[in-house]
Amino acid sequence: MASLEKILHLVTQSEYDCIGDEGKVLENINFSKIDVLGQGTKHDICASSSTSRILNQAETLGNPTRSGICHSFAANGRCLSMFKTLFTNYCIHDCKYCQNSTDYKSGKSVYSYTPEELARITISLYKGNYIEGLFLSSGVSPDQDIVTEKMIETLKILKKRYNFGGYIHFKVLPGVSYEYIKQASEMADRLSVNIETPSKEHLSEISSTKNYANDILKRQKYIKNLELKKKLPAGQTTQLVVGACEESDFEIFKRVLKEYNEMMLKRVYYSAFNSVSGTSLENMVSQPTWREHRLYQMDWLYRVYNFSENEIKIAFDDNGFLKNKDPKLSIALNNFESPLDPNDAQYGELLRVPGIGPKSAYKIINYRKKNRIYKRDHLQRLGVRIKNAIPFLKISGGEYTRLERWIECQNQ
Amino acid sequence: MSKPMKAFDYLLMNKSVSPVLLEKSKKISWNEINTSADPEVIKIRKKIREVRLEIHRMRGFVRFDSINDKILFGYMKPENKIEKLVTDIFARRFQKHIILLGNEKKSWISYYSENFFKRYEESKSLNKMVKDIQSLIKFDSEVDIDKIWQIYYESQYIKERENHRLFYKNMPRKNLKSVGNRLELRLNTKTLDEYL
Repeated sequence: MASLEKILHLVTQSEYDCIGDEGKVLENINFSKIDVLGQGTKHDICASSSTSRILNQAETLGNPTRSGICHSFAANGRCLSMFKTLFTNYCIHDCKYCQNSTDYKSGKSVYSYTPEELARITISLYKGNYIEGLFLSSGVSPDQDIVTEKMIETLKILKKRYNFGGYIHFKVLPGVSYEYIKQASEMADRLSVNIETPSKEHLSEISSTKNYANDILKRQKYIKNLELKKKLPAGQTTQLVVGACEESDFEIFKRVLKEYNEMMLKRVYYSAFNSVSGTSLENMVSQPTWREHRLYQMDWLYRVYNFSENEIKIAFDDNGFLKNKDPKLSIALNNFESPLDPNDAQYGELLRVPGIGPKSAYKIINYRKKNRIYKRDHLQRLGVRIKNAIPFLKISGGEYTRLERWIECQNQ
Repeated sequence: MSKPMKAFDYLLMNKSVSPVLLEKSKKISWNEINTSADPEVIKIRKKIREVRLEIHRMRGFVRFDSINDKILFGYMKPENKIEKLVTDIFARRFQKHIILLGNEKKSWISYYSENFFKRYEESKSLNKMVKDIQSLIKFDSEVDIDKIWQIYYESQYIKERENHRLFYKNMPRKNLKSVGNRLELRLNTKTLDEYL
């Protein structure tokens, strides 16, 4: 026990992170507040805690990770990696799908955290290893700067008092001043403003109080300009509510291209519309989650696989919607005239074959430097999903005709 | 502690690995491991992946209680021999805190600060170790953060999005056991324990 005693001695002598009476902040915490303010963020999909930030660990409590860590999973299998909460659920906007809206018909209790309370909960959850960090959003008060100031105060307590080194995702409220966005950018890993819809016309259908150009796009530009000066470790993101204003997937796609190209966004998140009882849209049919899934696949093709805009357009039907089929397969069925020889194909060509992703394409390129691929088994060992890929590949002379390929892929 | 680990180091931590694979892993590069289609190298890749996945899961799923906010202790019973490494990872994350991880049979302790690193293991249960520590220092009662977490966890539930298949893929039962069933999981109105 000698060693343990020695360490205990060191720890009790240390002045680092002495909580003292601050622990009492949580003694009388209102559990309904945690529940209601937590519920206010449950439709925010972003769960990433991956960041490129590097810090001197000796000076901080905790550290961020490059890969991100899931600490739990919700019943839908979604990663729960952060304490995702509103600062307050009081809101002046009238978004028809939202339970914090002024249009919300059911009775609503209004709650707010104090910066001390919220910082202490975050630290306690972090030290219990329940979370990787804080995802802080809020309802909007008549002066959006006032609530943002409180949110920033929370970050200051986390950073200065607790030397918090964990991940922070900060939601920029619509219409907030540049100065506050700047302050937040100095402490957060990621900033985001939710655009919610693909255009101002669509937004006006679901909210009469938000201005698309001024409240949202202008704030995104502020963040972009800040990023150009000093890189945000986890970049800027946004989210769309899919299907709340009868927009098509193609309209979403067009907006997403602008977000990536003009606003330099790191990621776009898609949240399928769910009707919430008591809201103005309570009788509207919820969107299937597969729609969200297909949009993510389309997004992935553009962002990770480097498919061009024209290639992706093929996946949309005449009304501008994606079918409930893998868009990569639809594109491949349209574009592949003849099968591809994996021994000669370029990296970009391999990526266009269903069942081959960036990792397996990279493995194929490396493998064939010294070997030749002439059996399906070789590809399987390199991580290729054979069933999906084989109709599009030429291996040892065997190849599908266009019709055979089409028939083979009908059930995929 | 911060030295990059080699394939051999990971393989050594695997619960069952043959001497042949261990020997082979000494001679191959990371690039070869990641790209080769050689059956033996694929086996090595799989074994390393098992270890890395479990380390990653332990980093996420272990839960800590605390004594005086500076001693963090939690249950851990992984399948592979990763206990020391995981304890070190947490010690580095929570510097100047004692990290105590253990199970019914053994406990591991790590302490890390800028100029001091100490690690050792005891053939005592976690409960026994916690009692030993409590007998050595004066301690205050701690806030029940688990209650706060449970309320928060339930607030994130969306009925329309329930997906049991994905849920069990991400959260196999063995992972719950390895961290002492501390994770709060809810399907419909049942906790996972009730469901099982």
